[in-house]
Amino acid sequence: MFRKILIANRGEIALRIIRACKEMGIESAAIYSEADKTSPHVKFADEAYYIGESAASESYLNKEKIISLALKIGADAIHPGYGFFSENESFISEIEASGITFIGPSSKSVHMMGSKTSARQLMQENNVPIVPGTTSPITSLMEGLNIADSTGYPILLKASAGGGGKGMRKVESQEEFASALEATKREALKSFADDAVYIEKYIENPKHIEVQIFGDKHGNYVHIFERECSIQRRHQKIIEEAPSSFVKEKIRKKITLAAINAAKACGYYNAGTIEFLMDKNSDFYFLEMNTRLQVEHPVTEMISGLDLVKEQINVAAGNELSFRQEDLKINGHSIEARIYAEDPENNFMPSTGKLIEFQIPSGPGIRVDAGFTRGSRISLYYDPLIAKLAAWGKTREEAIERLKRALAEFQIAGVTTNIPLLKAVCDNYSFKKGEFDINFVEKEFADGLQSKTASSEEIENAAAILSALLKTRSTSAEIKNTITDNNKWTGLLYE
Amino acid sequence: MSDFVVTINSKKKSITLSGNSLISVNKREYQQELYHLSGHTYLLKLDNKIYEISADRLDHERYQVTVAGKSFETLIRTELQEKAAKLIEQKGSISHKLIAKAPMPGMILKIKKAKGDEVIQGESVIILEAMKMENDLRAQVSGRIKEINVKEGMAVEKGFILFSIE
Repeated sequence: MFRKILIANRGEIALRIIRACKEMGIESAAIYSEADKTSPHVKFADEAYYIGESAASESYLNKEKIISLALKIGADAIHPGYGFFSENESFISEIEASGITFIGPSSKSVHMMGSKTSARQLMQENNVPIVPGTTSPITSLMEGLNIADSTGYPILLKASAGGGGKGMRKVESQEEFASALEATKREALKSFADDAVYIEKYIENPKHIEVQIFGDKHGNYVHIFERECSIQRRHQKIIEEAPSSFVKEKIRKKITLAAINAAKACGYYNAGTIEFLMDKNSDFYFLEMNTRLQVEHPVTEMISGLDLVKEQINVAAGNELSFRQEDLKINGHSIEARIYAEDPENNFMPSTGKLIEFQIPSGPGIRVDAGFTRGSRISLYYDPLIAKLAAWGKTREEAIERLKRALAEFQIAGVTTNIPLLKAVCDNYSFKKGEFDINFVEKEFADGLQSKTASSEEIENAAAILSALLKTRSTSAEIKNTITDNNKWTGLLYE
Repeated sequence: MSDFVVTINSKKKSITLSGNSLISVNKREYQQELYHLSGHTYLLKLDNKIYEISADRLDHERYQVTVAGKSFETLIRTELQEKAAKLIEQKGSISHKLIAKAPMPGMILKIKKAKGDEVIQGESVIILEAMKMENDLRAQVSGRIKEINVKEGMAVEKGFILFSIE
């Protein structure tokens, strides 16, 4: 087993990996940027190393610095988390060459699945159904227009190197094509350093169903059931659940088998996810493979009882999978909500600032993965994900009720969050019935969120009253501020 | 006894504090108790309901208030200040829509219009990049671009005036 793991990430996922290391008796080494000096992942790790300026390119995306640091401190493995370098082929092959173990797939598997176009080709050859469209990047505007015409609008423009909902655009008509192509290429270049873009037929109202798979270095493959991730905004997931209430047992057999075939096709080991689009007839199409741990892995952990991060470490160390397919069964239902620093009433505009208050929920069936504490700063340098809230219940209904109850226990102030939207989803009739697709948020909240997330008069009155009381006290407050937080006389002086 | 007008969600609420623990909002009276928990967080008791509220003072008359997962900006003025503010508003009838400000800090990625260009409402003028996302900033009203105050590649703070329309 490894002695020391360097965690090449930040936020909640770095914390998640540190926790697994601690439980396994492995030393954890965190890296941090200027902006993350006081972040929880730095405090939790056994060792912490400053890696560079706040911009990701200077820190979490600085290959040379990370690898030379790992060598210097005697780390025998690197865990990339998700995002950043997790699916970066050249990063992985450099680690392989350095003698350090990468906790993830081989660079070869990542290469085969990394470009969406070549992955599509590979899937086609291995009888995994793919969405109609091109299996190679567009070389010119003219060619793109022709292909789009023959595929039929609406189409999707997607970055070959893309993922995580970035570098993707729906094009409704010929007139929009040129500017959409330009924008997608630009975003692709910026996010993935590769401006190759391809065309896919836009599937109307599909569900996003993905299968968690796991492979080891001995050729063993298992699936850990499916997740449904159709509740999205800006093509990024905000609510994920396992299992999907839409997937019947017969379909589950078919889709998990296709997923394992996809993993075998690229000689995969590590945790991986095969994403599919599923139409209303339960026909499914390969979308992409994520060759890493997913953000939403907690829901799979909650219904399977497994620890996917510890299993990743176990498999990377060369051991066989610690369980077999027949050991697994679906226990209950789990739903995760992503708490983002963004304003759902203003086109999901990211919100930055210092968390002046941060309290997380607890109680039966609740798990919170957060990378921040009170006083943390949500900066514009990184992803605006503040925390993940996962609820477990015996049934889907119980999981939803618990999720809703726990959402109300959050007290996050200093940035605007999407909590009102998440609550509104829990209350939504179609969501409760399980009748929704990837356009759910746009459809159900088309007339603006205000009406659906409306605050009661009672809440507004409370906010107004507090403002008035603070205003009248503001002169005397300056005197109070000189009293420290934990001085036991503070309370008395307030009365 | 003091009277305030609080603006929240574009609604005006008139608040009267009388005595130590009575407070009324638009004539609805509450028995209130307020405790400071720590930092920016308070416990407010209104009759038999308890609210945990965090508040950040933005300036002399504005607070950012978070309660029950919702974040509000409240504007608080005394009755007199409110009257004065109304008068000023009536005098200068400049629409705020004519001035586009940066909704968040970020970098100007692309400027699609130039000074003097005609724009129609909803047309994209500037692309602002923040948190790796491209955010389309559109014209709020139809008109002609009067001024563009930024250049491509420039970093802007929240609230920075980007362009104006006439």
